[in-house]
Amino acid sequence: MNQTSIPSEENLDPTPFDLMQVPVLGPLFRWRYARPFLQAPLLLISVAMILHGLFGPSLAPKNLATTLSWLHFRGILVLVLLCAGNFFCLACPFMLVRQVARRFFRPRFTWPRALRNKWVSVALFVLILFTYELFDLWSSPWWTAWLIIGYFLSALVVDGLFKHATFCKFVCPIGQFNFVASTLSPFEVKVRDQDVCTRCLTKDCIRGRRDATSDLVVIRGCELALFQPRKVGNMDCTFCLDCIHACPHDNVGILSRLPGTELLGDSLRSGIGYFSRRNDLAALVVVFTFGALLNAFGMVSPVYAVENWLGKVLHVSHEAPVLGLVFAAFLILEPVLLLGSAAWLTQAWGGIRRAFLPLVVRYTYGLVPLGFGMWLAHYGFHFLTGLYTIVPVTQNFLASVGWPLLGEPRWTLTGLPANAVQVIEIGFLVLGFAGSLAVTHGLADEDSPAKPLRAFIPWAVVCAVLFSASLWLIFQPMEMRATLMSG
Amino acid sequence: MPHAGMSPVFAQANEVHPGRYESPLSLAMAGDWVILLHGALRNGEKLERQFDVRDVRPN
Repeated sequence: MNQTSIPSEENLDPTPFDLMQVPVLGPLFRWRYARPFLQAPLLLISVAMILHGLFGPSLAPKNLATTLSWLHFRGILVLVLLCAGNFFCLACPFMLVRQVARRFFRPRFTWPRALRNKWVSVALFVLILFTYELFDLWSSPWWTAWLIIGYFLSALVVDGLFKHATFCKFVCPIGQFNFVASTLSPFEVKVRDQDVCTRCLTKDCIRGRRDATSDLVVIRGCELALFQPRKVGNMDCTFCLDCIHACPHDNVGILSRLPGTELLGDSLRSGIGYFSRRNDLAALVVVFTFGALLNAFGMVSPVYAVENWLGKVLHVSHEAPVLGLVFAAFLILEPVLLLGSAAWLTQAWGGIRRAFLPLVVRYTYGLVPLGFGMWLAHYGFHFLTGLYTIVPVTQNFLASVGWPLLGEPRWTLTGLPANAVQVIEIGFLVLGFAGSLAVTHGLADEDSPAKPLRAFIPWAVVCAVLFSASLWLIFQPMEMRATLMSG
Repeated sequence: MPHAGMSPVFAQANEVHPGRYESPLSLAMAGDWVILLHGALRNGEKLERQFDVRDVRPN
């Protein structure tokens, strides 16, 4: 059985809750200018972060760029993804600047066919994780400000040259992170009634709504090539609301669903294709999952011991090659060993007749909950233990620009106690572990309905290994150095 | 700590000899620390200094 269908969500959730029916939210999302309305405050905050990062205090805990980027933005992002959906992409400030720029110049090119996949964004995702560790971005307001500027410029250049939402779909590493994590979100942009779409003649949700007289597009259709009636889940969906505004039948909502169901099944998905044939998407999931552990490993004491040992063994004093080896171990060696062994066992012992690589690819999606659990635990820790630090940092920022409206900075304000937050971290990890077990069991059940356990057990062991590693990581003493290798 | 949001440690320095101030400071985590000194001079002028304390080892 190569191409199974996704379990009918209608059966699981006969009357999905629709965010578009909620007072205030519904009218807001229906409003044509909802997106710029939500983007504008984030753009202002981004400008303040850039200015403070470049010209404000060089100490990270006192600077808006580092405090907002590495504590509040990341923490709120993962919590919103967990509790709602990909609403950051909806309010993305980079896209507001790009949208304004497109009023003055139209992109002329189409993104090369060879690059219409996730490989570029996977490479950029790894590059961001690497530079984060190498240049200690978390301790440098200046570098953080340039990272934000880099994002704005990249979005402008890519979408200034190439049509549609090229930057979002094929380039943006934050977007890819959000796409993968939002497969576990409880809400999805989805058609309410498939029959209405069947009868629809204009397909405005993908083509865009045209003016009757001039035939010009007045409301955009989906720029990410997701045709609503055949769209499955949140992968590649930026929640931009274009389809909701374009649909002449008001048939697209933001509907509740069982998180993670889209990771099961292998039906043809609009704008995506088959999950099992998307090696690039599976590679993105590998970086998402193993990168979560790697990113947390970079902040605990053992990392320095490992790197110093590697440096001595290799007679290397530069950080980059040692860090490169650690990255290779986490993002190549570990996945190859774990996923390769599990796939071999699934074939040999479980009797699954899929080819080796498609089998690895298919079950890799089952690791998304574990990875997301680790990101939640890590980012949630920094966010919650530093929750109130935004108050003195904002007080300091306003005082530095000559508006001491909030008084003297209260540097004693920090956040929740670390031991209380650790309980929440464990909760996120357990949730991720349970989610991965459920998804991999669901995949095994689809592949081998007669003997699902034999296909499931190898992947359950992989999940248990990753869960144990995550748990070990959060109990390690934290250690933060602005220089990686001592001596 | 050089990472935003990590709990700072506060302590009051007391004059133990004329012109010499001491303060017990329990650094809660291994790694690099930054000491920010705030003081007031006799003439009312504010004094601010920053010192880097690198490579604090775990107990």
